[in-house]
Amino acid sequence: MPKAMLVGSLVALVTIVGLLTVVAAAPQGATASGPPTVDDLTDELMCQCGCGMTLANCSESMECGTSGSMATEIQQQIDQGKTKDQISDYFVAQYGEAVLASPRKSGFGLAAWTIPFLTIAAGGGATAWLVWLWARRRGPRGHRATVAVQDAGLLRRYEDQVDEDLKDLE
Amino acid sequence: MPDLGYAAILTGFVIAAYTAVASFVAGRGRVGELWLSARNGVYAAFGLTTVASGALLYGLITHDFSIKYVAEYTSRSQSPAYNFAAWWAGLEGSLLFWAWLISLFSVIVLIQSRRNNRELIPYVSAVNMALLAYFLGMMGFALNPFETLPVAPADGMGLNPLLDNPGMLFHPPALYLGYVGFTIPFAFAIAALISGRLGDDWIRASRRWTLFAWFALGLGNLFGAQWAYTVLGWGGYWGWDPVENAAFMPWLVGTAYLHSVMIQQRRGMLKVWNILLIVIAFSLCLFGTMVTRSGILSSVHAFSGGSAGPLFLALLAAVAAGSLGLLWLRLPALRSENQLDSLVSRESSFLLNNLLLVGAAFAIFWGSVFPLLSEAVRGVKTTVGPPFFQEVTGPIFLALLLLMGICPLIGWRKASAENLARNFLFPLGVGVATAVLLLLLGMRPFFAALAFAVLAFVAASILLEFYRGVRARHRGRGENYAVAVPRLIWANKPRYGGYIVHVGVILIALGIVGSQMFATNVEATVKPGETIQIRNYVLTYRGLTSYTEGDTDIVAATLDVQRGGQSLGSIVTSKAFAAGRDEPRTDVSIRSDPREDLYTILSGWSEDGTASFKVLVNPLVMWIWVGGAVLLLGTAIAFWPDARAEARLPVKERVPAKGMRPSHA
Repeated sequence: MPKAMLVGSLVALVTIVGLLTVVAAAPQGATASGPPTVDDLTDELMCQCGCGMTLANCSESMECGTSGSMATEIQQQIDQGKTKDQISDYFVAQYGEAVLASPRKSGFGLAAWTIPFLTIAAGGGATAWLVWLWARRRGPRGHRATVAVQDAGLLRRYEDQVDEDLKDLE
Repeated sequence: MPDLGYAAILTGFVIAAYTAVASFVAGRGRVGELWLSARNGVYAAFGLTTVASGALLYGLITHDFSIKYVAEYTSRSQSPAYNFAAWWAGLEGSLLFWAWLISLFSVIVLIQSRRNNRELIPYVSAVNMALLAYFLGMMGFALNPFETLPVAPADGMGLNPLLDNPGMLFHPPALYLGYVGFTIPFAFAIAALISGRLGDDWIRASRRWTLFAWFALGLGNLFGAQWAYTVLGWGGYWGWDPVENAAFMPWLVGTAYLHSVMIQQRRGMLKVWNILLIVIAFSLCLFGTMVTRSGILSSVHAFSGGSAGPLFLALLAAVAAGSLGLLWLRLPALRSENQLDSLVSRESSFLLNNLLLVGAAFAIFWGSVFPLLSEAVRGVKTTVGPPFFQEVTGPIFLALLLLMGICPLIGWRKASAENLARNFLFPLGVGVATAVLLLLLGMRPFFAALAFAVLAFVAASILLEFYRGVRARHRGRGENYAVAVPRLIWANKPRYGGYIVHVGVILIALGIVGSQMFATNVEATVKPGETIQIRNYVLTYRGLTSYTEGDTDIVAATLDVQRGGQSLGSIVTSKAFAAGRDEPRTDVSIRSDPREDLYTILSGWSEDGTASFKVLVNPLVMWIWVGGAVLLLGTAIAFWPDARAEARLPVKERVPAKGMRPSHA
């Protein structure tokens, strides 16, 4: 098996992980085209009764007048033809930023969204550097003797046996 | 009785403090007599915390409302089981429960280590007893569970109705077992740093404790999820509440540790990292305890804590500073014994696994504390709730799942290209075929199809591992396949137990993806005889009934259920109003099968019999609980004593350590 295939597999792997991250981080089920629904907003606004839950969750887990009246307010805003962002702004003006169930993706709030991924990326970079350093530092002692093996089947059986023996040690 | 309990706490504090110092001095100076005294101190401390706990339990069961704690958390009408559970329902009682568990675990460790770990065990006891002394000190001087009231009320307030659930008997104790369980591997790590025995001894000695703590914490979280799902009545099982997050973070770091120790045991690498991980896991346990008791973060779970917050913060700071200081001092002795042979190896894939697990824990930590940071920096209060955590952790967990499938396919030391291609072919084929099939069948969003494909890939990689092991036994020993499977598992319990745990994780992930991506809900107000439609279900509302059970008034709605035209019988959903409580309890109806849950909530009603319902169809939720059971099975297998592993113990573990007098063992 050529080295190129190994490199190819690695590139494919990194691409898949990267793709997963990008796809997963993209907003799910965006309904930007149509008018928002009450459900769209009850998941993204916090109930102000002090329960610490979103409007959607609070209204079902306890008797709460606040969540009901807030849902009515959302419907009124939708009826006025406002967009999701405009409705969020309306609630922020009324209750402050804490009414949003997650920070805005702008200004200081952007730090909340980006720092975890930047930290993981930095950790990944540091790990990759360390692994590269370790693998490089092995020096001549670590180089394996190259033996021409004519019988590929024999080599495979040998590798399988080594794998099995190593597994037994786990 | 309150006086006896309080006296036991104070005496226990003195004994535990003495034992911590005596154990440490005995370890340093190899003083056998002092160690004998310290050992007795551990037993005495356990006895005293047991007396204190017994005194509190006696008060709880016998309704001694002169004790403030008893008056706050029990009542005459409350069942004895819940009066017992009040032990851990409040701040002071839960501290006593924590202290009792530390003392119990300390005794067990001492008994387990009669014949080995003699150089480590005095320091392990020193750490345990220092922590115990701190907890007993907190109760003795600031948060006394035996505080009495000037006048005893005729009846107590009882538990919050939401806590009046069988979950209360399992969820908090399981979490405490996990939190306190992590004390033991932490104590072994610190003992290794102090004693300079920095090899694998401390890891081997604490492996099953780590597994136990990790499992208990995981189980506690699952119990909590089930409780939330069945009782809180919002149709979900995880609210990303700060306290839930606090219990999840140490589990993630513990998972990273359980994987990275394998590299240390096999290759003598990552010694610093492993100690760091266990210190972080334990510190996160303390952080979780602090969050629950300090009220610094807004949470549905929080106790009102008074001085508890600063006291836990001080403990957390001392643990972090002390551990990191010791680690710094020992750095030169913690060099790796080996280097990596290749960039593509099981070792490097485990490093990636650790990065993602710790990264996920950090993302959750960051989200949990961001409101504090925002307020400190901008003076503006913000909220970091479920949408943030779902969006940030989703891709990290999906990448972790992918890695869970990749890791077993990559060999230790160095994976050859041919080896990789041969191993990846089948699982990758299954994953790609799943993705294509689901997309062709019209599954949207794309992320859901991708997630199911990743799960199929992981399942196929585990299946391949089992198949190869079974085939080897079949060929090598002539065993038939049915016999070879259990024998294979039994022959290498940690390895195959671990794979079964992975299967459990796949099933849990299946349930989470299904229910998060494809849940449907409908809200409707109907009169008797009218119907509600959701997916292929038709619910016909039959009417309301009201009745009384004990001191609780219950209003119940009955609905007939049909699916695809076929009758599935009737369901009942209700609200219960306990005497003296403002908030009613919602009793939801959950009709569960492997495909989906029909989740029905009675939201309200009016005099004319009209009732409002919220109905949800949550696909695949049952697999979360099934996955939990599989996880339990896998952990039990991995936990089971392994005669082969015992036989493999190095000789140094089977002979008395020099210096200690054998007669005192």
